[in-house]
Amino acid sequence: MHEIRAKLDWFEAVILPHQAALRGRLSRILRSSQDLDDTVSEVLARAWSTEDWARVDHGRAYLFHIARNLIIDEARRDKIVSFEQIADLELLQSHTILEDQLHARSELRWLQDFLPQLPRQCRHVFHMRRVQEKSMREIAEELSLSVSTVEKHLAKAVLLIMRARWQREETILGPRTAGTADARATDESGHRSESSDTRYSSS
Amino acid sequence: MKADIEAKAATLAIRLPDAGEAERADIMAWVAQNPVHAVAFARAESAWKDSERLKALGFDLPADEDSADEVIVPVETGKGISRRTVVLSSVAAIALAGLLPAIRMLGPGPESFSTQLGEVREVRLADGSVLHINTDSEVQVTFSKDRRLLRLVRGEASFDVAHDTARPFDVEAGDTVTRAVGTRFTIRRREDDVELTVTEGIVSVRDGTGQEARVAAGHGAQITPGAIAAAALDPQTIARRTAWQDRMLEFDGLTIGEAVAEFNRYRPLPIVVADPSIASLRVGGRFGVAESDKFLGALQAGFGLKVIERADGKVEILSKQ
Repeated sequence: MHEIRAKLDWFEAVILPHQAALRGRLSRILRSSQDLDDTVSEVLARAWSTEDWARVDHGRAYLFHIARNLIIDEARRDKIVSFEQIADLELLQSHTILEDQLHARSELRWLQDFLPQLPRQCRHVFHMRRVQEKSMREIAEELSLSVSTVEKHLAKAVLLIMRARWQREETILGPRTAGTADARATDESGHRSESSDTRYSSS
Repeated sequence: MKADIEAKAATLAIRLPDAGEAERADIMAWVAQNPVHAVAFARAESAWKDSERLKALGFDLPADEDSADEVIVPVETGKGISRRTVVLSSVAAIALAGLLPAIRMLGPGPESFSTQLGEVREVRLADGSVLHINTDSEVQVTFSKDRRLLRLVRGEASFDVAHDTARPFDVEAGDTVTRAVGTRFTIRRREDDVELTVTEGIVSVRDGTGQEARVAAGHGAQITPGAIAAAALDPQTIARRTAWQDRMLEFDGLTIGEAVAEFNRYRPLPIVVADPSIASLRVGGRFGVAESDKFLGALQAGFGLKVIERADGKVEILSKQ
C-alpha cells in the first residue's frame, strides 16, 4: 500500500502535469479524436506500468519517448501514420526544466478560469471545501444538504475538472528544435539572415 | 465504461483524505487493480490537490455566489431560474468580450490595449497569440497581411506568439525591435533600457543602431542603444521575471529596496525605504501583486522592522528602535 501511495505521488508530480503537452503533440500526428484519446490513455497506462518508476524524473521526455515507441509500433502494424509523421514526432523535443516550471503556473491559471464554468451548486460546494476549507459535514449543515449529496457535488466537480483537463491540448507554439541547438544559435550574435529564420520555422 | 471508472475515481479521491485505515486500504486496492484505475485515480486526485493552491492565490467566486441562503433556493422557483439566466448571460458577455478584439483586429488601424495601475490583463489576439499586459502598461497592435506589429508604448508585456511563418511578429519598444515567429517572451520597458526574457523558442532583437542578436529560450537580454547584452538566466530569475503573469511577485534574494520597487509598480502610493541599511537587506518570498500589506506584515514580523503611514499617505519602512 505504501508502494502504491509513493507511485501515485510520483505519477501526479512527474507524469500527469505533461498530459496536455502530450495530447497537444499527439494531436499533430493523429487526426481522429478517438485515436487521440486512445493513444493518450495507452501512453499514460504504460507510464504507470513502469517498473523502475522511481528513476524517471523527466515526465515530459519520458511520455514522448513512450508515445514515439507506441506510434512506431502501430505504424508498422496498421500503417495508421506515415513515417514522415514519425519524423515530426522526433523533432519535438522539449526544454524540460523551464517548461516544467512554466507549466505549474499555466495549470493553476487554467483551473482558476475553469472553475466558474462548473454548475452552480457544484462550484459552490467545491469552493467551500477547497478554498474555505470547510468539512463535508459543515457544508452539509450550512446548506441543509445530506453529507452524501455534498460528496456527490464534490465528486462531480472533480470529474468535470478531470475531463476538461483531459481535453486540454497544450499548444505548441512554433517548432522546437532541441535546447542545445537554440543555445548555440544565441551565442552567434547578430547576422540573422532569412535562411536562418526558415531553419527555425519549418515544421 | 471509461466514464464509470472516472466517476468512481473521483468519488474515491475525495473520500481518501477523510478515510479510515480500512477504507484507505480498499481505495489503494482498487487503484492497484490495473493501470486504467491507477491513471484515473491519479487524475482525480491531482485535480483535487491542485485546487488547494487556489486558496493561496486568494481565488474567490463572483460576489453573487457568496450568500448561502440564495444557493439553497430550488432551481424550479422563479428566483432560481432567473439567477441561472443571469449567470449564463454574464458568461455569454465574457465570451463576447473575448471575441470583440478579434473582430476589430481585422481592421487596418492599430488597436490599443492598456492596463491601469495594479491591473494585469490577458488579451487574446485574432491570430491566437496571447498578450499578458502588466500594471500601468500599453500595447498597440497592428496586423497586416505580412506582418504583426506590436508597440509596447510603456510598461511590460509578455507575448505568447502563435506560429505563422508568413507573418513575423515584431514587438517595438522604443527603438528596440524583437522579432518572433512562434515563441513566448516578455519585454519590460524601463527608463534607461529594455529587458527581454525568452521563455520559449527563439527571437531576434535589434536595437536602435541596427545591431542584432538572437536570444533563445532560457536567455534574457538587456538592451540599451548600441548594446545588446544577452545572458543565460537561471530558472529562479525567469520565474521572478514572469511571475506577474499570475499576479504574483517572486523574490529570491532580492533586496528589500528592489522588492519594494516591484510592489510600488502596483500601488497608487509608494512604499518608501529611506534607510539604506534596510533597503539592502535581502528577502525571499512569493506574494500576490496586491499583497504588499502581507509583505509589510512579514517584514515587521521577520525582520523586526516598523511600518508607519506618513502624513502624505505613503507608507515608510523604518527600523525599530
